[in-house]
Amino acid sequence: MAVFALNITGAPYSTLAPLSALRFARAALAAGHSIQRIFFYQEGVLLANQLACPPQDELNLTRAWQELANEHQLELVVCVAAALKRGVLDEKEAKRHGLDQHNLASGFSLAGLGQLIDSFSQADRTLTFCS
Amino acid sequence: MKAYRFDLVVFFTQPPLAGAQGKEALDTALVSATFEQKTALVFTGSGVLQLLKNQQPDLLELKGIQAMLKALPLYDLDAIYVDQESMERLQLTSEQLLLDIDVLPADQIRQLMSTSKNLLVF
Repeated sequence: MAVFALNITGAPYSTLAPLSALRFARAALAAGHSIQRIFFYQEGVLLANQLACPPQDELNLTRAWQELANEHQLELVVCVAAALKRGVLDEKEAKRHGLDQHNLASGFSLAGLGQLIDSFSQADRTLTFCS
Repeated sequence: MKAYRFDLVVFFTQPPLAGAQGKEALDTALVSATFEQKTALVFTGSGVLQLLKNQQPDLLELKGIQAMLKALPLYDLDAIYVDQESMERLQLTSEQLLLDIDVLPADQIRQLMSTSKNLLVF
């Protein structure tokens, strides 16, 4: 059985990256493999914005990832520099930048790029989903 | 032929002044080197244009990565390669580049890809 890590760099809804990654993760877990970490980088960080409201009859990707992560104890890590730049902040970062609002979805945490580099050495294979 | 075995190879495929990919690629390479991972940078396609001397991104209210590229040797990042075919297609010579870089033919880049552990394309 293999240990995978996922690096999601494509935006939700405008690319298929987070959906393809979700479907890969479900299939890998169902086949008995494990997933060491899911890292969100570049436009991929937008998945962690809890204020995204896709139409009711479309899959809510943020919620779908939260459910899968909850069920399998997966680590959802968002690149802090890429997230701040794109307006995705947790309470601590919002305070640090003097902002009233924060919008990081629960189950996601902000961390540095070192977490992606760490995945390269911890996982058997790190897959990037960009489009 | 020289053997290339890297923990991570970061590919620069996008030109300057066209988005954040160059910066995000460079950040990844720098963090990888900080974590003592054997890291290489490969410039290919329009990404080769990132290496041109005398760029003035500030005229467009943008921040380029050229100053940081020049400082790469200070971060122990000296495995920097540029794709020969891309150089030829853009009619560029090594003298026009801001760093002294190894120009690699396609077969050596392929070899580098097959022998290295992780690849990231920006």
